[in-house]
Amino acid sequence: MLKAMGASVVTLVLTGCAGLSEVTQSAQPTPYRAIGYAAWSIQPGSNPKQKQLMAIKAAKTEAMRDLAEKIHGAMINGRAIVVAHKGDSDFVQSSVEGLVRGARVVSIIPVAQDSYEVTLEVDADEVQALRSMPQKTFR
Amino acid sequence: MQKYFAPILALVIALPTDEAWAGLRYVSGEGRAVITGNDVTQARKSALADAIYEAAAQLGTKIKGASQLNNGVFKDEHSILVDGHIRQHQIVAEGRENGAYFVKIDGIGDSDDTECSASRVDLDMRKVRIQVAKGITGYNYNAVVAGLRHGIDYLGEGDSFRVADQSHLPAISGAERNNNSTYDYMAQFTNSVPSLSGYSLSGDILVERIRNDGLLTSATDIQATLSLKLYDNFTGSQIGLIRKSLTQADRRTIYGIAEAWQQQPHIDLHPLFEQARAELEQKLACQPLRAAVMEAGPSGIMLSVGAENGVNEGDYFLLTSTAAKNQWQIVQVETVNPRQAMARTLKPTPKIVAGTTALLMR
Repeated sequence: MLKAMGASVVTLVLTGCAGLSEVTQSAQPTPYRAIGYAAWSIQPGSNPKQKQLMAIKAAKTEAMRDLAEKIHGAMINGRAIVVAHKGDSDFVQSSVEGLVRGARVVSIIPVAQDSYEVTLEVDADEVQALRSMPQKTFR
Repeated sequence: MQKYFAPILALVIALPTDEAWAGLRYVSGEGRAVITGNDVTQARKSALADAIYEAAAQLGTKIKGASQLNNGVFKDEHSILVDGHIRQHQIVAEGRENGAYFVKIDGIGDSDDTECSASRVDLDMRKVRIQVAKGITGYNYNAVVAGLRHGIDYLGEGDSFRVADQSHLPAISGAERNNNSTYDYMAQFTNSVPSLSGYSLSGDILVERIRNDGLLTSATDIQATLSLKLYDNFTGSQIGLIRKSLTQADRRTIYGIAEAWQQQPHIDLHPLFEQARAELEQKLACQPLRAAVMEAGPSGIMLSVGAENGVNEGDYFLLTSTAAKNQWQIVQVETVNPRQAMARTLKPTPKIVAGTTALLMR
């Protein structure tokens, strides 16, 4: 009987904690996250370790671009030509250009046989500040 | 109190100017490099460069990319350009890891995204001397005294500064800054201790009669001039002079005839303080928020600024060690009171002592 009561009390306490943490978390603005992938077998380098580090860098760059798209948006251009009810050519281009600040690495995880997954994150208030800045093009 | 003199003086010498430290940002980075041919030194250098690169990327990374899908053939290209300036860095962790060498750093970098008016600096309002020319005292003098009182209250409503009315005390001198002067007792007694990490304002109001005689007429005006000197309490240097004046008609007389028009002028100083406040906002809005460490102990670091200065929980302050050159400590604010904040250090060293000056970072 005592054990059962003890278990009930523990359950109640844990439930209370969970509710509190949910309230705390919901007050925080959600950060922006982006993921990039790169295979290491195709990377330049003299040994596997070097290739792995290069793959991590490539995946970071990929994730950074994904972040830029989420923050600044992407420009899409497309052209499809149909001649005599037959598709002649199809061309779609998306481009992104922008500044990212305060991006930090959340995780670097090896996935599949020879790839890396890098997750980057930027705080929501940082994104707000970036969006309010006048954007300049660069070369 | 005198024990604070040495660390404060050392900081004045050690820290660059405010402008140089405006818009600081705390960054961190981690870099790795492969150890080839057992050359750990080279790998360490490469890893450190990589870590600095990653930290600089947090200050600003420009991205340009394009993807094309042309008749089912996909082509993708993008480039990133890191554009950041790391002022100082220090290695917080390093070592070997699966055939590679890793280095983790903390750093301070420049950020050009300083948010002006986000914080309120402390502004001590010191003595404003009133000088009224002979012949126009009496009513005018009383009007100026009342105008000054209202003016100080009006300045207290500023957005980028928090005014402490210490107008019963003279301008802050170098000695008082170091808590060494005879005014120190009075300051303590009247709870008007100068804010060591803030600014102060003092000056005078001059009221005089000006003659503007013509060929046939005699005209006099009353001119009021407000001169305020803005001092940086931390360095003791004057960082601004605010000088505003206004003229009001006094007497208009035609020679040989009785006074054509005479009216007791009503001196209203409010427009002068309006202009002065606007200029103060411009001067102080983008000044970095500094604080003095009031207490440093195992329970945390007590800073001399709080919610009234715009400090929030989670804010970072940079503290430069007086004991070791090029060493700094970062503290993060945990609790905020209206006038003070408690923070905890993010690194075990260097130790921080009371009297150290802290700078708010992003």
